[in-house]
Amino acid sequence: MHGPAGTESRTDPHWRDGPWQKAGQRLTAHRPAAAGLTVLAALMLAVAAGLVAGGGPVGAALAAGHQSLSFTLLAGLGGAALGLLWAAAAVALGERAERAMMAPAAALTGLPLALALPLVGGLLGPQRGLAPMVMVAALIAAPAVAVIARDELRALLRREFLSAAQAAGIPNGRRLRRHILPNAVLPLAAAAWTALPRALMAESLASLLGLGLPAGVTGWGTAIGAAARAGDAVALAGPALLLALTLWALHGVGDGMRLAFATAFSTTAGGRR
Amino acid sequence: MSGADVIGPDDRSPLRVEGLSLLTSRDILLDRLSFAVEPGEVLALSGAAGAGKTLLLRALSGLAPKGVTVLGDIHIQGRRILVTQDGALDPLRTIGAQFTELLAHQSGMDERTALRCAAEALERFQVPAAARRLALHPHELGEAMRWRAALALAMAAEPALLLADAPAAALDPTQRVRLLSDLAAWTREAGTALLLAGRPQPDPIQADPVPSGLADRRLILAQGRLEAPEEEPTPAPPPVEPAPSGPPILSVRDLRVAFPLGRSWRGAERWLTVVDGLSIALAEGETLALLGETGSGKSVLARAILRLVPPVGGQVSWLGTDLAAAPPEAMRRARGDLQILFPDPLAAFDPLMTIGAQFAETLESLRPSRSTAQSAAQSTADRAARLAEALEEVGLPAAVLDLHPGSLRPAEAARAGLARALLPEPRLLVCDEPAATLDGSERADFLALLQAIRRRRRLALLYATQDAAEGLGIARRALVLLLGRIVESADSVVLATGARHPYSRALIAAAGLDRPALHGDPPSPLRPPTGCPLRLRCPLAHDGCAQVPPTLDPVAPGHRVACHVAQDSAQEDGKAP
Amino acid sequence: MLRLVLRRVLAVVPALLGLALAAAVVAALAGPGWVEALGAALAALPATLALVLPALALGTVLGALLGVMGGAGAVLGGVGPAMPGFLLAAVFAATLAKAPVLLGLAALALPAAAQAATLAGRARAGAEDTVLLAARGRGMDGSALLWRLVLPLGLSAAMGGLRSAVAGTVTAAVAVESLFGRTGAGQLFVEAARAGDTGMAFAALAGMCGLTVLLSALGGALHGFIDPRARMA
Repeated sequence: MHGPAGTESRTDPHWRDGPWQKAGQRLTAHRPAAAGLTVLAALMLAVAAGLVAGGGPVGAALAAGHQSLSFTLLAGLGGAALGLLWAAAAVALGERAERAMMAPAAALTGLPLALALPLVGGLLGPQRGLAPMVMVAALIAAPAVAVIARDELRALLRREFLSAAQAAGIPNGRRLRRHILPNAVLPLAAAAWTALPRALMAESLASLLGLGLPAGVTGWGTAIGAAARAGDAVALAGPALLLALTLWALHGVGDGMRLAFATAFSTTAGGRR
Repeated sequence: MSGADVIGPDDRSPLRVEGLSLLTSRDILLDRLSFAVEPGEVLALSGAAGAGKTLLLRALSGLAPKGVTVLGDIHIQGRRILVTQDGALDPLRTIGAQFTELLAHQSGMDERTALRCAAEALERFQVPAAARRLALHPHELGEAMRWRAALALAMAAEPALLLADAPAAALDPTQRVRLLSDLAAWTREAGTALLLAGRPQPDPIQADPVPSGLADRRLILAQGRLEAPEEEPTPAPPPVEPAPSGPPILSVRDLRVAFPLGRSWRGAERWLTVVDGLSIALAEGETLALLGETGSGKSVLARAILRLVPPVGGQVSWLGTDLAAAPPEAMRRARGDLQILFPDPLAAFDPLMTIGAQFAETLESLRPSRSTAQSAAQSTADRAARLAEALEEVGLPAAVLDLHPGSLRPAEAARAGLARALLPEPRLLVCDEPAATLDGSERADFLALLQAIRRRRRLALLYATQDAAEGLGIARRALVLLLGRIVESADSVVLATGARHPYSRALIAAAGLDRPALHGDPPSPLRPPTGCPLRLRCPLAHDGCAQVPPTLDPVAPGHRVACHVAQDSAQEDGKAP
Repeated sequence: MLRLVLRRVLAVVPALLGLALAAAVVAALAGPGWVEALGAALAALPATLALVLPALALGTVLGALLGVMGGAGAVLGGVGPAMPGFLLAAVFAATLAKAPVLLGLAALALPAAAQAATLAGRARAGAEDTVLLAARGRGMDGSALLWRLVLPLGLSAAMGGLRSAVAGTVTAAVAVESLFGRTGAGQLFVEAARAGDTGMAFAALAGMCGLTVLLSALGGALHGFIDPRARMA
């Protein structure tokens, strides 16, 4: 018999790594996620450089990227925060409140919610400010985040090590701080990430219709819409390519996070009740 | 096992393998295996997890995974059918449609004949109202019924060779052994060669199925080669311990655990009762096994005693303190005395904290140090030493303290879980199938360690398991649970040889790989039958069993049974002399 | 089948009524012409449906087919996230505005196909070692396996994602109608929004939401027809 020795050599060179390293390794092992991270980093650098250098069609596309990406980041963060809050409140308030809160969230994910942004954009008129638009985009992204986050939290609360902590007499507050919150970080981050591509999609669609970013602010969607209406394929290429690339990267990273983190800390599958 | 004792390599053997090797580009998975299976023979194939049983079966059915090279000769006479580990059926079509398709494809049978054939095949596995099940889809069947359908489907095709990869591994022993016995009986009758692989989990097939007659021969796969089964030394009977006496330290009275299922449309609240008015008393150092099938409530009972699941009624008192009413501080003190081993030890550790940090947390919570400021450093050193000692006691190096749970193997995790439970120096250890994730020798080693530690520390033990042999081997007394109630309670020695309740007998028979005499599937706990909860499956049930539920009454000193038939016969025994 | 459809459709009737009520209230609050607004939105819906329905059907079926085959399906699924319908519509409108009807259809069908391909490919990969291995173990192989098991499984998985596909397609249909100048609820919505006509814009949006809900329900019924496991929900 192989004695349970703990430190003997194993085939996997990374077997000793901590859970956070292992989660990182799993994320970068997913090829679209690794590529997506690289693309996003490169894009950020390019946009920053474009702001400094400026000029030409490339500079214009990068400048538009600055607007689109800032909007996405703000709206995405807002949507993620709203969604997580939604899910956390639902789980914390007990079963009946949970059902009452999650049913509308699930129903909303099945509607063309992104159209709410051009609606609000149109109603606010061309003099609309950026803040309400960000807020609406955040609201659009929130329900999907809430649904995923609720599932993750439910799964987390069923994990056996929480029973073990209870058997060890650890009070509820400490259990929440030391065990539940740290273990919720990565799955919830994966849930929150989905707000980013949603916010970018909603903004680009609205801007393309001329009902998104306020007049005078040019995002990728605005540029694409103008080029499409003018039939100008050359002007379209830059922003369309960048937008496609960004969306692809955001999805790739999100997919990778879902695969790497949602199952990340369940060290073994299954287990009986 | 070589070809030596295989009766001449004639052409009748449905399966003859000569020098079969399976290779990947990097290593040799199976190394020059040679064996044969005769018509009507049942060959059991066992081996540890990862020994290559599944791979061998896939190679034999011509479905080796990509990247695996098959060398050597595989001679197969007639039709072969592989039943995979999950026994998967086509999820989109009814059972009947799957029979019709397979039989039409293989023997050109028309639909009506095929359906009749299908019903007959299901009846071989004692499926009641078989023809009606044919209209159902796989997901509408229970796990046991799905396995019956999968095996019946395979046998209906009249194969010359049936390769079954750990069939029905997830079922309870009672149902599984019965299913396998029926299958073996059928293959012997039909002259089909059956190659039966064991599962890596604790499994009766891993033990020797030959003596019980389930299999005719046994092959063991180890390190890619076939080994002859060696004579296993019969374990020495455990030293007889004096019955612990003294007042009970743990007493459970009328414990009830139920989960709300929401309201019915009339507004009445519906409950799923899992533990139904159970009473247990446990003296210092006593060992008690809780036996029962899945769903019998043994696991929930174990957790309810520690208040990990809130009971809805009854009392659990520890050393005279009622735990349900205990204030947090008293409860924490009691938790230091009451510890638990979980079925999946790895999942019972927080994956983000090192083992050492979790040990320290447990110790700090349950046995807080009352050190003053000066001796803080001293006490820290003491604690570190104490954690290392705890690991040493279960045979793990102190280096494990710095590891995260993700770096542990199942056997190490089981031992680490035991070490954590022992840290606060408990007086009662509640075990909920603690070796469920271990197999073979690792399992035996772990149970031996548990026994040794229990004796040394004079721990009281509550051991829940579905494997009757394991439970009776470990504990002095045993309770048999059915749908949240005790149906039999006796000393383990008495129960092992003279169980009175048909359900206990079935559990014990299944542990010895004998065909249990219970038919059908366990009733749904949502709609338990009237009267005796076993009556629909019981071979002895009479009309009276449907009227009143039997009460737990003594039939002999220290032996209580809740069964009308057993009580009647005990009374007659009492009158006869 | 009919009962399944009826059950699914009846289940969404309250949602549809709610949407209609909300639209009526908002339109009535916004201006006096709310009856006309509702009527116009309803009248524009069939045109949108004629755009969305073929695109969804085509996309889902072709996507599932490609997805279970692997190869091209995997590539399609991989680039799917980079090509939302509105972006494709803009690219087509700017470069090859020759056959707007077909182009609009393609712009909507491609993303749906990409999603279906991803789901179907995943379903096939997941079934490889379970259902498909078991079927092969029973002696089923070749084209029988593909047509009788692999494809239905892939199609079922693709239809499992139909809810989000419908929402995405309806959203993209707004861009297609607006960019290609087709009449429909989307066009109506965009013009009303640009003109700041709250009642009309909201009525059009509510109409499209209703369309989405209805199509999802029908898709769910169809899914249940193919896959008995989906009938319960």
